[in-house]
Amino acid sequence: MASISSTSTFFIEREEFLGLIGGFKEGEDNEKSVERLKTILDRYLESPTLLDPHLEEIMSSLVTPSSSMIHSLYSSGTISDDLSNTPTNEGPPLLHTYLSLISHLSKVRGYKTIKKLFTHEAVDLEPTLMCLLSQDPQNHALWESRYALLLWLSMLALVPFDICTIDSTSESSTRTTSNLVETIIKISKSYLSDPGPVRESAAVCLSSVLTRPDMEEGYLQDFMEYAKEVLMIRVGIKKNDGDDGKSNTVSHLTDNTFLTMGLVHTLAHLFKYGHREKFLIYVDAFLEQIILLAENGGSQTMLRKLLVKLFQRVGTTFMPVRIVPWRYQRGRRSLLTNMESKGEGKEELTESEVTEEPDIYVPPELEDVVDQLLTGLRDRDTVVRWSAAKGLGRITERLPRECADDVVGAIMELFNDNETDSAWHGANLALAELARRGLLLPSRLPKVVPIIVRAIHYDVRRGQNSVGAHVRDAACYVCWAFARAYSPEVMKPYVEELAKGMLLAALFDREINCRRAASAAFQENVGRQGNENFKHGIEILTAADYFTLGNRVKAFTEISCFVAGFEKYRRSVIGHLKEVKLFHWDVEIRLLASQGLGNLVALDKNYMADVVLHELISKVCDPDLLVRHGAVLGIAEIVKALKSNVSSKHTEITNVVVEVEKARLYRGKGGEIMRSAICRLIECVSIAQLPLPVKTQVRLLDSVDDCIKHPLEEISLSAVAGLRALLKQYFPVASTGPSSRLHSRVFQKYAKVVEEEDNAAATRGFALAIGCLPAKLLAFNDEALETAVNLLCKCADINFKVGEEPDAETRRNCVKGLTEIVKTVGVGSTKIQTFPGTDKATLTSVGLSPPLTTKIFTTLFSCMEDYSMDKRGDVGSWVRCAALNALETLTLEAVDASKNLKEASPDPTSATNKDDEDENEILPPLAERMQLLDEDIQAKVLASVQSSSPMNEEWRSVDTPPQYFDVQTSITVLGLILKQLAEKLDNVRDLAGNILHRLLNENKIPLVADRVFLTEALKTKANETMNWASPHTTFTMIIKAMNIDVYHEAIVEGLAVSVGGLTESVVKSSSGALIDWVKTMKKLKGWRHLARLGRTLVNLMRKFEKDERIVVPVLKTVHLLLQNEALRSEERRTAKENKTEETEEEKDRFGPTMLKLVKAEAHGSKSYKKIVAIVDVLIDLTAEIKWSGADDEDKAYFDEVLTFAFALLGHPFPKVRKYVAEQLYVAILENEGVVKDDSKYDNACSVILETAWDGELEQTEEQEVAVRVRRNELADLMGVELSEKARAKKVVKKGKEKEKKDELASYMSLVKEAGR
Amino acid sequence: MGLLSIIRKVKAKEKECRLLILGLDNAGKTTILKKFNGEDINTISPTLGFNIKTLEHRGYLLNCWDVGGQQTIRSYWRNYFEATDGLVWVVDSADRVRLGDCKRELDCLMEQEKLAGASLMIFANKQDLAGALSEEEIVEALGLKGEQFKTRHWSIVACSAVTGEGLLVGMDWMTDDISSRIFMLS
Repeated sequence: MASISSTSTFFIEREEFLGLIGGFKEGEDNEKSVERLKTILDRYLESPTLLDPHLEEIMSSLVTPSSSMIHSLYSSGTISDDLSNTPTNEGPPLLHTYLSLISHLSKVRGYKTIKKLFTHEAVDLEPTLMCLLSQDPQNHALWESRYALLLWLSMLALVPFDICTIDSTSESSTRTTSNLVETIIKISKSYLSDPGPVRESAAVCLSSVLTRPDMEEGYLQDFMEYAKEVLMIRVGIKKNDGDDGKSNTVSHLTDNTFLTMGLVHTLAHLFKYGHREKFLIYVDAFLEQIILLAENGGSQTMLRKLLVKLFQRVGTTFMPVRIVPWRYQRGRRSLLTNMESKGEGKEELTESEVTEEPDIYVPPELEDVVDQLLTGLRDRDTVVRWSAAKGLGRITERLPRECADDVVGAIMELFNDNETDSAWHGANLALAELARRGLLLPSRLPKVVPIIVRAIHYDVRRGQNSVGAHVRDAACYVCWAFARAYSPEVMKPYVEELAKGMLLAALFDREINCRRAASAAFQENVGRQGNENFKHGIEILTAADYFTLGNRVKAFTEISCFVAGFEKYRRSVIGHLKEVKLFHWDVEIRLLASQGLGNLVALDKNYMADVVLHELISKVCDPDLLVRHGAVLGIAEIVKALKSNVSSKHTEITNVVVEVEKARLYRGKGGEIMRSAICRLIECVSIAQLPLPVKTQVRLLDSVDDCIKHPLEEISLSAVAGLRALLKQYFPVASTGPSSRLHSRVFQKYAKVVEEEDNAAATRGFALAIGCLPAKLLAFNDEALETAVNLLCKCADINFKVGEEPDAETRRNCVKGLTEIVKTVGVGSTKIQTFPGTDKATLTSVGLSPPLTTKIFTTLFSCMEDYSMDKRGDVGSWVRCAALNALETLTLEAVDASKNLKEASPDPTSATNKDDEDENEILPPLAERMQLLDEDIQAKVLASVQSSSPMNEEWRSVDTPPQYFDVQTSITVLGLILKQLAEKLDNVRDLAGNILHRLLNENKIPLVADRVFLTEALKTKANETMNWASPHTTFTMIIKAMNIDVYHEAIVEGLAVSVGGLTESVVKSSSGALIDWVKTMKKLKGWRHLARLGRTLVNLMRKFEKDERIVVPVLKTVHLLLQNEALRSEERRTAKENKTEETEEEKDRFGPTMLKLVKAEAHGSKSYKKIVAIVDVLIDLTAEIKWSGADDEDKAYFDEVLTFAFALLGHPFPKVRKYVAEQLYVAILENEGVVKDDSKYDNACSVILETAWDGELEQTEEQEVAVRVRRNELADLMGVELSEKARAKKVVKKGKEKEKKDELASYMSLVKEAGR
Repeated sequence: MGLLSIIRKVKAKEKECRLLILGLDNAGKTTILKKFNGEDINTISPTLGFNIKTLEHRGYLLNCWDVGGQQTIRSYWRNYFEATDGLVWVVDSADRVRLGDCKRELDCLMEQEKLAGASLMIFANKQDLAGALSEEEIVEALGLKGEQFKTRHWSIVACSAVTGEGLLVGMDWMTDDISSRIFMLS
């Protein structure tokens, strides 16, 4: 016997798994290993058969030790062998560990497979039983052990000996009452009412024992009596209450659904495994009761499923197993016999001619059983239907032909519009089951196939959505089963119908699983029925495989065209789209269907133009919204694809718009989607260039105008798209520009709306609309263009208001409009354009002049500063994003227009290291290394980069035309983009990053200051698409660019917002990157850079004074930097080392400057967030206080710091006071130098600690020591001089407060009185 | 339960079958099974109970159930019939005396409803012993040409469990025959 040579395995955790099991030790806590083992097993829940090659070793590693433990327990007598004893010893924990793993394994792989792998030796029987007996049935922690033991017992009970011979009790004692078998039955029976899975294994065990040939007479009969009694009472109680007295023994159990389930489960097993003839006698007794039980309806799915199973088994008990002679057989498939016959017989297919079937008695009860199973097919739960389908298959397999045909007929009746979707599903499953077993005879196919084709498209609307996906899937199962069941000859007549059905489902089903199921079924058919039968099957399958069909858009728009390329399927594809999917309940599907139709036009122009279009036009006013919407969409796409081939129908088509409007279909439910669809139609008509009379053109323009101002953005957008196409195609203009009528009808009207209208929806829409005007209406002369640009620039301004309110969307749309204008007219050059439909044919349109270009640039620059907020959040970000896109477009156009731009020369001011001669260490990152290079080396590097640029020569040769783009613009543009790249919103960063990447790498714009450093800093790894939205990677890059002088400030401004922001991931990544940078700079002694960062932050504080959006994050950033000693130690150094050359900047020391700024910020601030940030910075400043050896200037500064801290300690907000006190305490712990006089240090500490700082500020009568008093005391201890005014200030205020209180009180009383 | 999961299940089932190995005691059932499994065959004692082995052959998983053949436990064979795809009947070709017994037991099995449709593979074992009957003689002795076997797929192979000769041929036939049926019968 050849041994298995390949040892490859899919159970990759095998070593670990067995190792963990082997590592178990008695008396230890193995919980972790068990967890791990179960996790490993759970991975295989989907495809448990992968475990098969290893099941044996796994099980033996579990079973062998358990078995020996059970034996030793048994022989030591520690487990009781008496059922009546209360369980005492459940065995060692390790045993339960093993057993629980066995249970888990059977959960994953199924008990039928697992139980075979237990030991099955007779000697194990008694110990295992005893072990089970000593378990406590109520111990919920160990149910898995009971489950495993019962399963084990079911295997042991199969030993082929008379059980009496291994029953030790029967020979040793006289206790014949409790022999082995009885005990097994008793214990299993007791677990039948278990609420958990143990019930299942008890049923397995019980049936295993009771079907033993030696059990049939006594025990089986007893059990059946018992079961019958329980069931009778169960159904009897619902019927009438009279039976109670009969059997007291079981009456208390009758309400137990679990017991019923357990019994039904056991009975199903018994009827399945038992000897059919022996069980025949019980059938009659049970049938009535289980039918009653089924009709009373279990509310539990599980019970219904078990009942269906039982019916099936009862049914098969009535009929003996046989290979029914009438079965359809698809020839012989045995390789061997086929080889021997040498191909002469081909596939001999026979609907067996053996009609003279021996008379078979079919008991009438069987009809009831089949009836029940047919009912089961319509059950509301899939598992029940599935079980019923299988049951019908198994029973039909044993029936004589006529009866079987009746069953098929009954199933087919379920395909009925009055039946539920469940019934359709169940019927499909049953048909597939019959087909697979060869029980659905070819003679039935003519009727069955059309039904299946209907089922494969089954889709019933239920309100807003529909049901039927499962029916369609099951219909695919039927097709799949047909492929396997019938020979090509039999299938031939039905192939076309089925193939089309499957293909259409594969292409156009809404659900991915149905498309894939249909594709799988089609594949099975092509494979088994041959490419002969299934025309073009293989080509189609290659294109429409499992994965490509996963993408719905692709399936609808691309693969459909491929399939329709085969003439055989073309009309079906078109037909299905135009009749079914175009009117689908899901708007997405309708859209896709219309696009699909449009793509198909090329394949069948005449049909589309003559038939489809006509049909759809007749449906545009259909009372059903889905139909009219779909129809309009369909017309639009078809017209667009047909272009001039529309033939004479163009009036009909444009009439659609009029008709729909006349029918007032914009109103009410679905009005919005109709508007979008009509706009799309107008767009498509224009694109198709249908010849239209002027009257119609104006009519369409009116329609579009009406939709542009719709508040739904989607409609507005499609209207603008329609407008763009319409104006471009129609409305001819003279060579001097549009007539004044046209100009006032379009541009002036729109401009007026944007400027004056106070309906935001209108301004938004028309701002976009202006941008979308064609050049002939927009730029026929400089003046017109200027008007348009000025208008949009004005309305993009942050202060522009629609009505009374600012409107971010209007601003955003203005920016978008500007972008479109730039795209349409271009920068600089004058264009000669040809307009269709104009006799004069040509018109000169102007481009943007240098001043206008600058104007747009300036507008965009200010739009980049739009940080407006409303209740929706940072709505300014929409404007900024639009402006980012606009900047890209404008920059590229401007660069394009000014051809002779040189690379920016290294700006002398950007040279970084005039005075850093000591900083010439070799540094790891190139960006930094470059940063610290000598100026002339740097220049050389730049020069080499420039000369490598091939465009260089060209530029020099051209004379000086007007300039639209210069170094300063470039720096500003890039700086603004970099700033956004350093900010906190992921989507903004993503956009900024991509634009920057395109500008620098793909389009290579010139005049980039410090290009080398910039590209180096932002260099992505080769072949890697950068995810700029991910803060983790982006910030490390942007920090590198921060060293470049020209972009420094912009980046710091953005970065500070991120570092001091609220989003955790952003804060973490950005501050991490910043600190890393600080560390690197310190290591490289880049004090200059650190100092500059400090100055930039200070400048930001000045620039955005009292602007909380910036100030708070900047303060937080300063706090972070101070904490990391980035600013302070630097300052010391510069102060000492650069004594010789003290510039203006260096005199401006960081600490005192910052102190002044925070004092100003704190003044009158009511924002807790801000004050806390101020306190943090202030406390950081105290860290450098050192009285000894300080000069006067320092001392004055220290004093000022502390005085301010004490002022805050007396802040009106209790929370602030408390926070200041806490921080101050930490500060003096860390830096004892804060307290002038060492001897008072301890006292100061205790005063801070012992005061309730969030208590009353002023001294009241009850409160002895008010906060203010303690504060003053502390000030004295710490040697801080507070002015008298500060000490006593609040007395005045107190008076004020009292007044307020009185006011409040009188107001309260007023309210009270009014209330009466 | 969608089509795709049904397919997965069906495919798994198609690859698995259950074989029952039966025969009179001392026919060599366990030896054959151990030989299949590559185990030592020198220390085999009468099977008091049953063995289950799972083997892989030609891409199929064969669950082989080997049940003891002693007279006393033959009545329990019935216990194992459920869902049997193939019956392997092992004959001691040298034991002429009990051939009648052998035929009787086999006939009895063939009447069992639960084995209807199962493929029958007969191993004419112990061909290595002198005086062993040939395949033809055993066909004759068991009455395999009779009415009872007309509708059954059966085959007989002369073999020796000790040398291993013929075993593979038999199992090949068995898997082929089952796989040609199992397509349609689950």
